[in-house]
Amino acid sequence: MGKSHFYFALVVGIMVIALGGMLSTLGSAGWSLSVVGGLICATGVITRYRNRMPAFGTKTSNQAQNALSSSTL
Amino acid sequence: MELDIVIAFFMMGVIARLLRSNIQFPEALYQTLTLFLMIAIGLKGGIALASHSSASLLPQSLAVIVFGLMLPLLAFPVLFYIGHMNRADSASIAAHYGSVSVGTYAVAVALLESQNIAYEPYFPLFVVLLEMPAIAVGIALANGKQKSIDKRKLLHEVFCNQGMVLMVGALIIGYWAGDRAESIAPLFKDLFHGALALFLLEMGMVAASRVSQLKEMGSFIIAFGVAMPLVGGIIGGLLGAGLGFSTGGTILLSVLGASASYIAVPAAMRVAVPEANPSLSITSSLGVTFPFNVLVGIPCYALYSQWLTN
Repeated sequence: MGKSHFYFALVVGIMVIALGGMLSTLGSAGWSLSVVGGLICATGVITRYRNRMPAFGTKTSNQAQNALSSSTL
Repeated sequence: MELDIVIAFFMMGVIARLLRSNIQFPEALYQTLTLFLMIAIGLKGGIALASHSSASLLPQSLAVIVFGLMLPLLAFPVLFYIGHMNRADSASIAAHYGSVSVGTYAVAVALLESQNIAYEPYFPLFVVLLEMPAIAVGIALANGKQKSIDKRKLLHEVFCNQGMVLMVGALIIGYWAGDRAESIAPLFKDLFHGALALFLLEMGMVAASRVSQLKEMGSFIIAFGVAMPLVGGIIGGLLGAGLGFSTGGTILLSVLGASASYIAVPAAMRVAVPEANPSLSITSSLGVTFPFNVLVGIPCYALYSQWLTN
């Protein structure tokens, strides 16, 4: 994922959180919008840094495995 | 504002698909429900138009058409410059977001009726008017002039697609028949909410089946699929309040601005911009924007519109 996609997701997420916060003063539906904003930010971060997150079965875990196997060798 | 009961059916569809339940929803039934909803909405609007038509409809209609022309022009630069999508895909997705979703509109109407919020009953006229301009802008953005498009086929798709024919036809029939249309009301009026619930059950399953494609497309399309309806909803609400619509009318215009087409525009774009990837636009409008609008967006547009009009 390109940098521009990541920043776009981050900016949209933050703005949606803010909009949800403003709407929450009018009614509870605003909170659900903030949750959506949070999910957009999280998706952006996960997609961008997926390769560095061991939890996603990724480069880091592969690197760690490679390092482990090479050290064993 | 509480969620309408029909939304529960949408969620049931999503959950059923995620649980890989083997619910069989016949394609013919989905088609039937789509036709039913279009006829019911058009007919209702036509009947209302017969008793509410006034000179103020003309400037309102013009403003709505300009609104429909503007939305794809807002979406296109975001898709093209930030999303780095090619021109055809950007134009195609922009056209989807400039047009409207009858399903989303039906959900908003159901919500207004369940909450006893009054709205201008001739709104289906605006649904029809908002269908077309975005397609024209989408084609222009895709640089249609330089390509050899089968114009006859394209015009046929734009003006004779099932949504356009059924809604305009039902609108005219309703306008012509007026109160005489009450004889078919038991089918098209009384069963509206039940049919909508079934339609949303299927839409929930369709939306959930797009999740895997969303993973491939990344966060941009998710962010865009949420940001664009919010922008359209905000502008639609402002326009509705500016045109002097009631709270219900303002909510509906906000919802129309926020919705993205998944029936009429895909068919037109297939003819006009064949190089565009339909999977991108359908996943974005059906996998992100439709569920977002139905579950979160509509109650938010309602809050915003109530704030604007009060």
